[in-house]
Amino acid sequence: MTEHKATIRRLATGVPGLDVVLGGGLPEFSFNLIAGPPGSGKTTLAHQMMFALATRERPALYFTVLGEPPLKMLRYQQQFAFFDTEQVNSAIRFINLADDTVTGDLDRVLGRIVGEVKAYGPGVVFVDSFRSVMLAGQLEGKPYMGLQHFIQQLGMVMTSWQATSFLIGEYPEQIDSNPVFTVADGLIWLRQSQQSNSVVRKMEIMKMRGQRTLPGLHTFRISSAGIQVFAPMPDVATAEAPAAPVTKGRLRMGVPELDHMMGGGLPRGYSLLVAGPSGSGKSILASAFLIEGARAGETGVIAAFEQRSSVARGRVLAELIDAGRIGVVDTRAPDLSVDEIARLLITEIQRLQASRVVIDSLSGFELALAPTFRNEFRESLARLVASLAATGASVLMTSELEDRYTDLRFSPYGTAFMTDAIIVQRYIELDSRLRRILAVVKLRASVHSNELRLFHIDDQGIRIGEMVPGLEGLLGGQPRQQQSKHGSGASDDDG
Amino acid sequence: MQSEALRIQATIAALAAINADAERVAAAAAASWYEIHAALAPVIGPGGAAALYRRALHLICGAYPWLTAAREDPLRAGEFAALQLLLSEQASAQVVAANGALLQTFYDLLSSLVGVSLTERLLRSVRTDPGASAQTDPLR
Repeated sequence: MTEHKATIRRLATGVPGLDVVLGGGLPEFSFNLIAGPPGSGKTTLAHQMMFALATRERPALYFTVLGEPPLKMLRYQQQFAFFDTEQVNSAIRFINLADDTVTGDLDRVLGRIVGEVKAYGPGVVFVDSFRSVMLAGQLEGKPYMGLQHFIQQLGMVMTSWQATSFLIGEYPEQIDSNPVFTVADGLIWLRQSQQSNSVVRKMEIMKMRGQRTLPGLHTFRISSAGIQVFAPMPDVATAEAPAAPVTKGRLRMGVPELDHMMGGGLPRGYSLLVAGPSGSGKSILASAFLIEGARAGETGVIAAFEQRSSVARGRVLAELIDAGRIGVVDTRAPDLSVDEIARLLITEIQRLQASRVVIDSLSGFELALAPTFRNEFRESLARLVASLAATGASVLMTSELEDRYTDLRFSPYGTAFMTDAIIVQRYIELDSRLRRILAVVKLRASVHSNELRLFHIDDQGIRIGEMVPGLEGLLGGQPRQQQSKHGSGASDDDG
Repeated sequence: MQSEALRIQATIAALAAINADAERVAAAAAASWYEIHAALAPVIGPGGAAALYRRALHLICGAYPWLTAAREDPLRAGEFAALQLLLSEQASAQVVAANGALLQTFYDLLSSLVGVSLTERLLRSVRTDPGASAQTDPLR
């Protein structure tokens, strides 16, 4: 024998995203707790894993203890797509322990569980809900020692009978005081966080012996398909291989003169922030970017948080979406998280081998988020930009920016530093007209124009015009004729 | 009646068809209820199975008033002695009809809660005792 150490197999849980969060799957023969308040999805999580893990050879045993009546549990759980009635009584066995539990005799409960485990030789065992076992133990007047002993015995029996096991229940929040938590190999905690009217489901792997789990709270959703966990975006270091081959060169923006201002276009793999006030033409620039990509035979992905109908996106873009050249990320779900959008974007980028990504706009994105995520929008956005960059795609994000003529700002989130390039659009008053100007503010490691250029929008899109000679104070919104080489006192009465 | 309920009821009907006396038919009916209880109790709990049985009994008491006494019977979950006694006092054709109605109502109740497909799956493990029947169950 060359390998003397025990190898721990990792089981695929069948819950999308969970294996990633667990650090590669569920360790075989581990003894785990699924905890959380009522309605947090514990039973659903348990059922979804059970239907994925159970086989005829190594069936799953699901012990129901006092608590949710099994009839109701079966009634509701079978609504999920993973619930396959044919597996019941073959690969999956439900065993009710109510009669044994009411006695409060934990030895009897343990004996019953051990007996069934011996009889069926299960690969997976669930005990739901465990709180009632604890309460039953307390009824007897021998609360902690009895319970601790019971749990240790249970954990030992399960592991030596080669079963991966789960205790499901509501547990008190004080982790250190509870013996259950010391004995368990894994601890999956489900929570619901509420702010205003929004409720967001979150999962935390508080403990999983023998492997590196992803720390933190991970959002998840429950749909008719079951639970889906949104694992955080991969670090740049551990990122998946780029979807689009990273090649040198520049992407054309779809506005020829803009390419010129940017020294030939947006360098591949760059992220670009287009900031400007409402109606200044950010979405039009974003569309031009995607359409230009399609013209060059590339594919793109758009997450649009503002213009909902395909009509409003413009005919050409709508046709490209219909033709499958441009993927659309569904942003209509309520109470989104940045991780969820990131997961959707990356999946779509990889599916289409997309080289261009548009997020229109960050302001709409922030509004679509559940309130609980807004506080950390900036941090999450930085991770999002980094993980999108890791796919090799180039990203264009728009950002609504109210014109403030007293200061020069590029983004409301302090996002300016995150992106490799920034284009700013502004309104100015000129000859009693509201005109638009545009400038390339930043283009990392590349020469670019420093000109403030007038532009207008017509049927063909954005048309970039001249600089505005002889005027100064354009960024203040009220240009004046230049008086001398350096306008004396120009800054005093400026806005 | 769905297949699993039919299969169970067929054993009892087969007995009546060969002119077995009411006592024997009633015993077979009670035996089938023990089996049903044994199949369901581990899954939905003895209390859950008993509650469904009592509800079914309650629902058919209008059509079979002579079963009312079984409804009031305070026996433990999974005991069908009272049912057997009341059935055995009727003519065997009546026993078959009443048990059929009870089984059907019970089946409908369970399937309205957990769906037809899971109900069928759960009742599949109900054994119909060939010893109680003089001839082999044609549906087995």
